[in-house]
Amino acid sequence: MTVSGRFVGLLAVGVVPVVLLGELYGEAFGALLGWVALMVVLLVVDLVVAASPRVLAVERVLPARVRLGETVVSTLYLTNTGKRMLRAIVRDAWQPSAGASTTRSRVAIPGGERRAVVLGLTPFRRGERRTERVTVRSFGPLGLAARQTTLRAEGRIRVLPPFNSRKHLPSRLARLRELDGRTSVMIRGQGTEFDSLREYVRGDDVRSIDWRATARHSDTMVRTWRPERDRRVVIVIDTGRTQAARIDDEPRIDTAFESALLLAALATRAGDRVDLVMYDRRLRGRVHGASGPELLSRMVDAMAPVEPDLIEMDWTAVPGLVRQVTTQRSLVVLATAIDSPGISRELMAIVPQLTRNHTVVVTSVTDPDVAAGVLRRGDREEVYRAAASERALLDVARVTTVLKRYGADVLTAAPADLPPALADRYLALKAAGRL
Amino acid sequence: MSAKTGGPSGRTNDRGSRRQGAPGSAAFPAVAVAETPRVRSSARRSVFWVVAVAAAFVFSVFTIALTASSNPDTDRYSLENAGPSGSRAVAEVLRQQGVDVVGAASLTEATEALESAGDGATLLFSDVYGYLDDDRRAELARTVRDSGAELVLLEPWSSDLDVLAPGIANAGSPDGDGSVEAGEGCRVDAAERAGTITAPNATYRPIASGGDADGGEIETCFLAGTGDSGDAFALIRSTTANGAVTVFGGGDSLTNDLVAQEGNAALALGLLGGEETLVWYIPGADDLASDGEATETLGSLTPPWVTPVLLLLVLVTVAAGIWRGRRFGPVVVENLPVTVRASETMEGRARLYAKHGAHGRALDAVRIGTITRLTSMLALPRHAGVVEVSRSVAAVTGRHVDEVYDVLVGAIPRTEAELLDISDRLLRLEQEVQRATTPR
Repeated sequence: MTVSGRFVGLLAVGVVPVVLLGELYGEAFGALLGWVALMVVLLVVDLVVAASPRVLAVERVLPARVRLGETVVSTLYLTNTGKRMLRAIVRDAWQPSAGASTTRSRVAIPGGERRAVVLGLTPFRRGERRTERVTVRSFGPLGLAARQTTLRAEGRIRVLPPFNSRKHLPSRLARLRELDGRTSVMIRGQGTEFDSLREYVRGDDVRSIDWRATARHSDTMVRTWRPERDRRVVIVIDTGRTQAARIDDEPRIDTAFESALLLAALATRAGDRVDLVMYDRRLRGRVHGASGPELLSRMVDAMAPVEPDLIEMDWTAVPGLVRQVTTQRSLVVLATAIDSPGISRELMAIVPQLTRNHTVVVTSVTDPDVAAGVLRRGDREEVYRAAASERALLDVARVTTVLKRYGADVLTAAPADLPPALADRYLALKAAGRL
Repeated sequence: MSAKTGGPSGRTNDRGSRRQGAPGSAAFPAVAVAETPRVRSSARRSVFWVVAVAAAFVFSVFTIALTASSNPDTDRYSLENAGPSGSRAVAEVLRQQGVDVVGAASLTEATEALESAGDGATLLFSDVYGYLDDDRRAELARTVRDSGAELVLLEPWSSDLDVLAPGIANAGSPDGDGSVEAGEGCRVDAAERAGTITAPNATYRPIASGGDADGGEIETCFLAGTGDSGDAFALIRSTTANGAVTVFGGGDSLTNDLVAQEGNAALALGLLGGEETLVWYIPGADDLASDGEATETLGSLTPPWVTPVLLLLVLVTVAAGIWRGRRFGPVVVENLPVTVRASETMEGRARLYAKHGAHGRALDAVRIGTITRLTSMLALPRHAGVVEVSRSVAAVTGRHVDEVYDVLVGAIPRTEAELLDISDRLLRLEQEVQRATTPR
């Protein structure tokens, strides 16, 4: 049970009779006792008359998923199975990062009726946001005292990665169509795979005329080309400790997710098959054998609850993981952090195993602060900072050199630029027929 | 957002589905499981603690009640003081002898006691702490005169004597320790019976002017010293028309410590047990007030409603505490990620350089970075040597090769100022090359 502010205020009002009776009749103590007794009686009556919150039936209507940054509506249906009117304040105990618009709602439910408590949820953290309880504080008709009970009513909502980089998708898809030769511009498809023969129309590249086919038909025929299809893309996301670091207020792993989502969206449109593996020392998530819209939804679903663990990435298992996914030649994207030769030693050790069979791209987020710090040399401290930045860049450059020597492609960019850069690299590889 | 009424369509749907199930109470969805224990079960669970706390409370109250009886009253000549300086022994013995011993801590109490005793009372007065002022003393004298009580002054100050016993004056300290005898000329019965008493604290002597007012009698006992004029007595009794006044300088004889020695007890009983009632008046703090009226304490000055209002405010505070302090259900826990800025390591390294003044190392890093960028700006092969780069830079910028080489490799910084200088020159060089190589 609890008391309300109204009760406290009313109790304080007792000063008036105490002072008046004390001043006029010298009965201050009597007045005090009388007032307190009156208040206690009112309190008890109010408590007894208040409807019990234990008669409530609780139902939730909640979407299963929400993209980070978007708002969904959570509806809580409360049914009063008792006979008395229930006047209450209801607290739906969402986790703070679920971003509930309010956690306290006032309801009045007549006996046997149902009311909805509607909340807006704007989660500000990825992962699974939960509520486990609903606390109901049921006030009596006087609003002096309340009975309080916590009811079990679980609800969970999965907050998906925002996929902000989808804004880059249309332009990349346009480029893909150009490669495909399906654009409105009548240029020859830049792919390397033979697609079909069709009649020559004006504007076609004369070099693509297939003379043998022209001889067989009465018309001039041209060959069309298209990029290779049904290639495999394997994205391996490192979920170890280095991915927890924040660059531009975004953890590295989130940038990795963005890049992976953009690449997957692009690749699946291009007809390639995309697999996702998230790993540190355990398999944290995996998407295999999905394509089209299902691929993306399964990917975001798998990514949603993954947070970087404070353990070292075990690179030695990665070649095995890739082999499990496919033995076919494929594009392997390793989303990790390239820091210094010491930390990246294991990565450098396994890259040759991968490059023997696959095209490997290693992506890493670089810190724009570091890059900017190099040229800022106003005072003593800035010079030292520039030196440290330079040293950090040199470390990255050393690892990059080694990786390139082993045949891997290395892509480093600021958080905002990395996803489109990876998409561009994919398109370039596709255009070159190197997949 | 606030709660809103569930859509009517939703409700009708519910009813529809209910009709298919069992009628009556089963129509409602299942009631939610409550996590809060019911009052009865939580009361049952907390019964042990309630009992334990109550027992502890009762025990402490009991203990306090027991120990409080040994109230440490340490006032000198106090009736309640059982210690060496108190006079409880005398009072108890007098009570056993049938004397009604009444303690008084203020003039008001003493006056009331004398009035209720009527005739036949003895007033023992000793202003140990000098609380009484002249007005009070005069009032006391008046009271004593009115009631006709016998007055015993125990170790009075000279100011007391002036008012209460004008025929007697202070005669300083006694000459020696040990005991004093009643002496030949002693006519006071009690003193004669006592014979000897322990040495007094103060002595008194009669003064000649004592007789001029009303020609009373003066008896002196226990010559305790020669004083100025050889007449310092421990006990002097002066009988005048106003009544009898006995001045006694040996207060120690009445204390628990010494009452059993010599003839102290006999003197005490004889002196104080002469009448039916003994008023034992030791002035206290209540006598300090300036006017003769009933003293105005803080309690009597405050309006009667102040205490109840304070109590009410305490209750309001408690209620407000419950109102604001009652938690609205259990705390919700959430694991939050640690936020680590990636550039922390870079900053840390910069601070290490700065702390140890690693000019050479810092400049090396800056130079390597600059040379790498210059190489790519000038489209030189990546493995191009520093000399080659210097030549190209000199060619592009128009500077002398040696100067460029000096900036890029040669100069060794010895102080931080030199480090800054070289760093600035490197930056200028880079900017010049960039301007020169950027096509316009």
